[in-house]
Amino acid sequence: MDKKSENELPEVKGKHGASVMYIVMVGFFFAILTAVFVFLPRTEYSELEKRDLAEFPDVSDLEAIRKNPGKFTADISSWFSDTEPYRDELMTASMKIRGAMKADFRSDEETVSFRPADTGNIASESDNDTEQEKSTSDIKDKTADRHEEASHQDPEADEEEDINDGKAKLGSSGTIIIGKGDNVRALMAFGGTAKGGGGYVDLLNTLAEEFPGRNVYAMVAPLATEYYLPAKAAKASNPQKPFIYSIRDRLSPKVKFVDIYDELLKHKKEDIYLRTDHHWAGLGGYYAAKKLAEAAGVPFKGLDAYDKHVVKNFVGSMYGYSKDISVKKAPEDFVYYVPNQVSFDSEFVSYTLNKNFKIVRESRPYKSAFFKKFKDGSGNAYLTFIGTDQAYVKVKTSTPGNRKLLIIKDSYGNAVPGNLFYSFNEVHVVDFRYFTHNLKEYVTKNGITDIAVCFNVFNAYSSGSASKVKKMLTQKGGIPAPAASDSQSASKKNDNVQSNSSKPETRIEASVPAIEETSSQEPEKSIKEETPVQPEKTEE
Amino acid sequence: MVFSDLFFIFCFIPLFGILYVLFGWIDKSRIRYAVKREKTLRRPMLYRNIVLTIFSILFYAWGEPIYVFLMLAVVLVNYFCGLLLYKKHNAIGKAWLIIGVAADLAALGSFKYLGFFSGIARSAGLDIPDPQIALPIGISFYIFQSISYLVDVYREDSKPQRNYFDLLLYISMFPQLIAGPIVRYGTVAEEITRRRATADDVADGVYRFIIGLGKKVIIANIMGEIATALLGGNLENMSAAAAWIGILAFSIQIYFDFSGYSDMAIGIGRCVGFHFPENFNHPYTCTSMTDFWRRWHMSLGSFFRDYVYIPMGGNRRHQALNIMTVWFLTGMWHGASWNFIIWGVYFGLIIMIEKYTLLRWNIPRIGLYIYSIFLILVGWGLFYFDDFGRMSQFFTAFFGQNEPQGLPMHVETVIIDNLWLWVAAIILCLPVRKQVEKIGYKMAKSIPYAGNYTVQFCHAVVSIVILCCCVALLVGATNNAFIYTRF
Repeated sequence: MDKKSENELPEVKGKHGASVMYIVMVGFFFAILTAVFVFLPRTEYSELEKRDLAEFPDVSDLEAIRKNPGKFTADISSWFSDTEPYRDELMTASMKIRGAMKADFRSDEETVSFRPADTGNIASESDNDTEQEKSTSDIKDKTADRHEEASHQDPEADEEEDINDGKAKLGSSGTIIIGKGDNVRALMAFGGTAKGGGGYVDLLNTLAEEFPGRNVYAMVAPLATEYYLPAKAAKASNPQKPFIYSIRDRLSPKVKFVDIYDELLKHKKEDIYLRTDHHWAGLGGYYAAKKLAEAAGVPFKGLDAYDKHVVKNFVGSMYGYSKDISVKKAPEDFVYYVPNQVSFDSEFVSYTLNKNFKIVRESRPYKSAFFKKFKDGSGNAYLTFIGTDQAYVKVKTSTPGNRKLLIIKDSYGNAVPGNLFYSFNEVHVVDFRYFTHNLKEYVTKNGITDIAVCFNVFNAYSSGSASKVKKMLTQKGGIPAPAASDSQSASKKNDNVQSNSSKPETRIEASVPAIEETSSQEPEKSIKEETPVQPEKTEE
Repeated sequence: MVFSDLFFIFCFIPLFGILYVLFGWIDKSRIRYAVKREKTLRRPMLYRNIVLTIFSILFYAWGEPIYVFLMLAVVLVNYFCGLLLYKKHNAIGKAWLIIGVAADLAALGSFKYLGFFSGIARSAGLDIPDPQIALPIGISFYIFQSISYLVDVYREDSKPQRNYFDLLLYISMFPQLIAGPIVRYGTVAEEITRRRATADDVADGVYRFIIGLGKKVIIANIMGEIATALLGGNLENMSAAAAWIGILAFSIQIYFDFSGYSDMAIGIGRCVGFHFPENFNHPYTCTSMTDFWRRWHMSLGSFFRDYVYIPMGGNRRHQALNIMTVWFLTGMWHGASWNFIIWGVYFGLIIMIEKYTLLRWNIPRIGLYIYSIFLILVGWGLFYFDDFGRMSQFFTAFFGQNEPQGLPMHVETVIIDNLWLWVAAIILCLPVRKQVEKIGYKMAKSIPYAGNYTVQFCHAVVSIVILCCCVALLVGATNNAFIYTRF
């Protein structure tokens, strides 16, 4: 090579002009993209996936970095690709691209698509929560990974494993999209068999033993899949009926089985389930409550005693789970019913969780609306009922008598109690994940006469969910203090203490995330620290 | 770090690009100064090479902070051995060669195969603990490059590198560091000291990189999801359709994954003035397994040809033994697992049989295509399952031994929901793009004055569209690693 050719002055003139044009065009575009990705503010919360996005790894924890530098750099990478600006918009674009690959020549009736999540691991009844954690759906993969790592380091973290189990099953065996156009319905696959649910049966039988003289009810809510899965896709999900009725057959005669399954079957043609959410609709909860009232022998009123409210343009959680654009294109009405001939007064006690989803604080009792009001288009409208899972609620109604109901529930159960205000003098709602008091004391102190455990099939199947409730029978009241051994991270945790805001909730079940909807843009702003649930407008 | 990571694309690349250009100016002013004084610069690329080396180390350290030191040590050993063995036509030269190659293989052996061998020893009843060593990324690639360096220097095909950092640059160069192509030292020795990247090079390189990114993100990742969905779960009594479609999806995935990576590597190389060897030539259009291996991972095939097969005697002495050795090693190279060895030996046997049959017969091409695709799919079946229980379940279904189930819903879904992707991927396995580009260029060139501009304008539009799709698809992508970085 002679000296001149060492010179790298580009020969931009003549035939290279075209290449230069290419470089300028692509380079300019790339520079814009880079500027957007690097300089615009990061997204912190994904509306679409209903979860908090990754946080930048802790730079101050030098010890951890030295121990595992690879994890630190990997965390930076995943933080960068998890929190990009316009994440939800890009995600939607990505789903549109995926949607464009679809061949759309099937007739309306036939359209079924199966979106496998992960490797199709199917829920098993297992006491081994880590096993279940492994099968965590890829929807939550990133968070779950970090989670698992965290739990290795933190011996106190078993709590969160527990919390996980409901969710782990949800996405794990995939989602099924049926129908077309406005009638698209997203379903979750159920992987259980008739043999599962031993923990739930045992829990109910124990409750009947522990609370003689009080009524104990078992309520197992099926998934929409059971009623709407077309025959040709039958293999994609196991039938839930054998499971639900095997629970009934195993219950001791002291427990009253509330046959929700059959009741919903009768009303299959009505909108008892949300098409775009993994929950049932207000109406499904209404029919479930009706069966409970029948079993309890208490009055129950028809829908004419309720005001019908509608949140329009609702697209629920299944959009994020299925990552299927057709779900987004088929918004539905979220309908709920508020009783109008009875007065009721609800008193909340809410829990504050730390970063590791451990309860660190319990609020004083405060009054708040039982039904929260959501704007049209809100994806969190299912939170209309109670507004959160991280609280227990005592509703005093104007219904005479001394029947007092305690519902221990998962998020499905949230839609039930609002329909029982004509039936009971008091309705207490306790979430199976968040309750720090001794259940026996609570029942005695409040003079509870009826206890119902309302779980969806996933939680009824999981022995972990049942054992959490069982623990409530023996636990001492109060909040477990942060472990002293944990002091190093404890201070950090406290800094990160969150109120009932979206953070913990998203992880907990595949359930609803945020608390309420002040502005869909800034879900976190809504509540700080101990501020109780305060929706914009409330109605009662 | 992987190429198809947003962090790489939007942090690493821009930062590297800016610094490389800035330091390029320093180099250029040094050159101008030298030209003025009528001197020759010994190291005209010095500052750019420093930037490239630092970013390469950073690139590697990002995923493997500890194993960077292993790589530095390997380079050091090779550096000294290279200097010591050069031009010594006696036993001493050979001894240094053997020491160097043995050290390379020892590094590879202990970090890649120790767990495997200790497992074999354990199953033979010996009480040896599992060393539990995590595989350093890219070790198979850079060890082979080191060996090629020593051998090339020993054969005097290349001069030894007198500068440790230049040798380090050759071994660690980030475009090809973790998944090839396996660049021989001789190919880039000149370019390490002197190279130029013209606007044409940069434009071609960027285009090549974006095409590779598209192959990986748009095709390989989605095909990978399909393969995992069909082959990753419970295989008991799986349908023949699931087995066939699943392994077909994996075949498409691994081709676009690996060739996409090679495209990106070659593309980045071009942008900074390196010319890496091609690694693929439409392997799925082969007419025999012999042909397949001339088209698939060409840099590995030619490595074994030049450094194992021919030195062993090639086709002159005990050819059968030579072939089987090469294929055993090829299988072994892919991973410390029996299924890879079986996979290699499988190809070795077929290639040997082909020598005496297929290659001497006159068979219509269409028959050869069907024959080849079938054997490739079987091969990927061996390759995919490292668990023999699952492998046999798979092949039971693949050969239709389970009761017929027609087209189950989940298989139908993955086909129909991704139909256009399947069509595009299969078309792109054929040399269609080449043909279309050829015709397109011809047409564009006929436009007076603006021919080149038309071509590059089309390239730019294609690039921007692919880039947009990739960025959108990368958001929320969970499993994005390249298959070949495991090897």
